[in-house]
Amino acid sequence: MAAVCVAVISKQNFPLYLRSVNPQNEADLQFQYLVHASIDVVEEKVSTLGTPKAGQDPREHYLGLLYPSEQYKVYGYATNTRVKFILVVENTTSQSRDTEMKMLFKNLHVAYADMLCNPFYTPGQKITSRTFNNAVSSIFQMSKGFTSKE
Amino acid sequence: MTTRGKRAAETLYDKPLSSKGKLEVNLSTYAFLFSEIVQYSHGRVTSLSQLHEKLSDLGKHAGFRMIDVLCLREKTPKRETRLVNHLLYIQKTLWKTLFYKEADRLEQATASESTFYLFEDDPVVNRFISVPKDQSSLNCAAFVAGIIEGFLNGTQFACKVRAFALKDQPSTTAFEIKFEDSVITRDKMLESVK
Repeated sequence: MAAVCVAVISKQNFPLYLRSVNPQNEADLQFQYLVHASIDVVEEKVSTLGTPKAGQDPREHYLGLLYPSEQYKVYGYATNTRVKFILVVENTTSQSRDTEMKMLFKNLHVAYADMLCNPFYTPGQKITSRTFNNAVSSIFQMSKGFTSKE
Repeated sequence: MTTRGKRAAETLYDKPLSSKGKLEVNLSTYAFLFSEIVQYSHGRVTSLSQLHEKLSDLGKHAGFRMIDVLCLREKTPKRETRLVNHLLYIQKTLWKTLFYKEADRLEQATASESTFYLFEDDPVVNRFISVPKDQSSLNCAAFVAGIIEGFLNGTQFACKVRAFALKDQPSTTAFEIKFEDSVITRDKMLESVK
């Protein structure tokens, strides 16, 4: 399962960051659609008033698989500040494990928190940090490593 | 002999190296920086309420940035949705991170269910600040009030926080946390679901 796109969405649901693994690709626009479509599912899962499913803590950050499409699978993660992380991975036959996804998201969250602690960044602005960009690159790399193990 | 032994135990060399534990910030450095912040703000305002507002604005920046950092350090991070649990989190975890101690008391106002009070007996921000007589209502803990407000607003608990000293105990600072009605309504709905 190689990750192909990472997106960060603000509390008011506008994109803060969107990057795919090879930006020149024509499929780039498609990721915007995929991520945009996932917001509804995130909203549904984050809403605290729905009846929680058995064995699932509604307060957990990791939201699990949001929806599968023909080529990709979309995963979600919501932070306490209602900033959402979306990860699009290739839809392969091999089962992707939740623990691996959680680890990718955890790394992303750490990178985001580091970036947020920069006093010159105003929360809600587009993310242009180079360090964050590098962290995302390493997440792409790491997700490739998971495939080779399987 | 005993006094000498005691004195020796207090020296720096007898303390364990704290490299593994929490990293504490030097108090005098901190006090110096905070006094500069207050002086800077004081020179740019015309009234006390403006000064409170300015300090609180600075605190909000710090408070908002604390959220993600703190949650990441938790063993089992979660998005807290209940009001009282969240306030206890502030009293315990947030306070411990900021001041290495828990806040002294958390109380709900008897008259209104949307108002809570957090008491801090000796806030470190006020320890080295002597307030002039003609500005007795000044409380520099407005900065800490800003931190609380930034933290709560960032985690979907809209509120206003105000800091003031108690009349009978001037060293104690109370933080008045006034939640918006929508927050209280939501909390009641969550109560009925469970």
